[in-house]
Amino acid sequence: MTRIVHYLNQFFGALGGEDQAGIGPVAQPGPVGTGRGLARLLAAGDRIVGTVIAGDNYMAERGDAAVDEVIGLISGFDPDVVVAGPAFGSGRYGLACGAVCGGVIDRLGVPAATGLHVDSPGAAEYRASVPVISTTETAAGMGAALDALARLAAKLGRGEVLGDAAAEGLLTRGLRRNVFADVRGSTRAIEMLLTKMRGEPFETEWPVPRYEPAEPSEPIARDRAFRLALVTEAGIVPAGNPDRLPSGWATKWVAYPIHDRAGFAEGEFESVHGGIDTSFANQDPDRQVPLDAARILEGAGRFTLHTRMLSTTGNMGTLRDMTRMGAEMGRALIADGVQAVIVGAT
Amino acid sequence: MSYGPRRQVLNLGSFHVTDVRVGSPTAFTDGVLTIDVDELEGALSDDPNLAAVSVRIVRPGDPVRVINAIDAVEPRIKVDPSGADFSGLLAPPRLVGLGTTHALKGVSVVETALPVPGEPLYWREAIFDMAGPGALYSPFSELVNVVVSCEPTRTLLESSDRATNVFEGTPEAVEYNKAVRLAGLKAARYLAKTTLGQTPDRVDTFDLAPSPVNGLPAVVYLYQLAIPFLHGEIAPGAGAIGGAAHLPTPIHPNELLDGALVCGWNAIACMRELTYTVQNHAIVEDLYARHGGEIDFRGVVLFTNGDTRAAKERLANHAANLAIMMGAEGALINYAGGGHPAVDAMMICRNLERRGVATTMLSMEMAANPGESGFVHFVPEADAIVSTGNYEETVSLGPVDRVIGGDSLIQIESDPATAFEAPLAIVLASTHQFGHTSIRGEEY
Repeated sequence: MTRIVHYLNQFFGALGGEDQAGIGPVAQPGPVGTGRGLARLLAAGDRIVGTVIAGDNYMAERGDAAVDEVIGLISGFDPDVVVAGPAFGSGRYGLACGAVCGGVIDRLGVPAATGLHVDSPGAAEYRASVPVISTTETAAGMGAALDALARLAAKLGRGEVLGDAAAEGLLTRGLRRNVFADVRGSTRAIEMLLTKMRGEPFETEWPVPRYEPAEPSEPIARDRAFRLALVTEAGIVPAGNPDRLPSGWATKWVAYPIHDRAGFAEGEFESVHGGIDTSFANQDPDRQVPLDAARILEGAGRFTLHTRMLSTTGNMGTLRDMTRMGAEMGRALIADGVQAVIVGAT
Repeated sequence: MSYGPRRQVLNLGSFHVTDVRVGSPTAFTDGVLTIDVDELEGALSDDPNLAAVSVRIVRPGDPVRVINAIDAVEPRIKVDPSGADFSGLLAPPRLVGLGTTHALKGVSVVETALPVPGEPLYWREAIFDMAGPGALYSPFSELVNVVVSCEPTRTLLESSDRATNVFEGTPEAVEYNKAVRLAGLKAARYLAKTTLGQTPDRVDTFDLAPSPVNGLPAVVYLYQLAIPFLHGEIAPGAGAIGGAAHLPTPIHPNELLDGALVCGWNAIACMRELTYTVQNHAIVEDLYARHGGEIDFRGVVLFTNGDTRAAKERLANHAANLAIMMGAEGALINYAGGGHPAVDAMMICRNLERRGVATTMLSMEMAANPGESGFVHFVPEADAIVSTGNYEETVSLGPVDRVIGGDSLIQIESDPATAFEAPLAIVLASTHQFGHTSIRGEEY
């Protein structure tokens, strides 16, 4: 018999709607809410021994501490397998399902799985580390999702190695590896082209990333006072790179005070960017981050310059890391009362 | 003479080599290529930039690693018109891609050469194994290789290391590398000369004449070259289109197959446009194989990359125009690797798709960790890409008994005879952008 513990949010756990989203984790014996449907689909002998329910906001706001609480309650049921959701395309719930499954796998050493829509934030964050059943965007696909989760739980409970993603109904992990194809690349290319020209379905071997559309902000009204920040991906840092900003593949950003500077002097700041000839930037870092020019305009009363410059290295950066860092920088600047940004790019 | 439509037909006669032996005289008899090594070494040693040249034969299964590889060349000789072998380099510029050429199949000449001061080393590492797990990745692991190892003169070894050209290095380094390449071309011609007067095992006729079958999908191949390929005399067939404008140009595919393009610089090994990979251009071969049956092959457009936004726009517009002028309904585009070229290749893809020409691209992937997309640049229109493999992925190479091409590697600190891990980037032609191999990336 496989002992399954089920994780749900307040809504699918039948504790209430958005008004109950702040509720902390609670444990209940047996299947609850969505779990009743799942229980009917389980293989003979497999059983939902307990359910842990927590509010979406509680999980979103308390992060790791909330996941710890949930995992504590789950471990109390001594599970063989943990199933979370399915959470479909939802944001907070999907992220919580991913975090709970990831924590269960890492810390309890127990297999876990969830069900999410491919474009959900939880899938983006956790598909590499957690088995995720591919679901529809809304709960309209509940039946199929539960069916797939029941089959997956049975396999995980028996300790079976999962097959390839498509066969298991899983999202791919979003990772890539080299394999040998049956025929050489040139032949595959001609076949793909002919298929495409016939108007038949074809599958690219290397999907291009998808950009989220960025909405431009409203322009700042003329003659209004505003605070301007200087941001760069040119890897401009104090000489010696005290915070060890990488020259490529950066996953962090740094901030340095500039309130007492009229501009960047050679030898005091430098570029650690690994994808360009940095000699011109090092001669005068203002060429990458125009602090000197900004001070002149500030002196003319056009704006107030923010006290810190934010910097990272764009070279070889992944879309995912850069998107995250952009959002982090944006939040930090908004919190500091900044209304406008100039990004010096390489 | 009466005037009228003319065809450009290349008859490529293939001789299948079953074994290569050292002996005298140099001859090709019943599938066995015998090489008088002393004579060949003597014939290659007259270049003032080379202190010594040694020739060795390595076969699939030999516990050998070849390092410091420069280029690989299939032994070829022009039968008609005679004397046009690698014209522009071994002969004055002559028209190629027509008439009759003989090729020794299953064999390649590979030059190896130690770097001299002033050579850019960042891309230069190029190796392949003849046995063990490392032999899975390079097409040259499956061929009998006649390895021509060149040693630089003492003067070259003591020359300045202050290079001003990041791609090619000092003038001395350029001259030396050219001498090495010429030695490979001469060796290729020397070996293929043994076939003169003999009947090939097989003759392939390459004829771009309009397809006799109407209504087949018309396909043009847009071939992106790495720019240094075009540096004047190194690229006889394409030298005329180099220069500042970098304008795309149509080229007859037979010229590609017949020695018009010779490897001109030491690009990253996995994507190096080796003379061998152009002589046996996988895309051109596969298009020809279906010409008149499944497709109507309309020819090749060569393009490079612009250095500025404006140059890229001009290049991408012109390349798409040429393909459409040639009647393309579908287009194959290969990406040459690197940063700038990715932008130009993607812009051409976008232009063609927006003008109603279906495109498929061939591209290597460049992801240092498996969670990255590995794109340098992309457009949403690039919805049909064949992956030729991620060259940043590391593979395990086994120990070997013998190393040819030097005593040390450039980027790898280990003894070159030991087992080590290395990115596919340094394995010769492993993720080649013509789709020469079957390595591909997949999502899992």
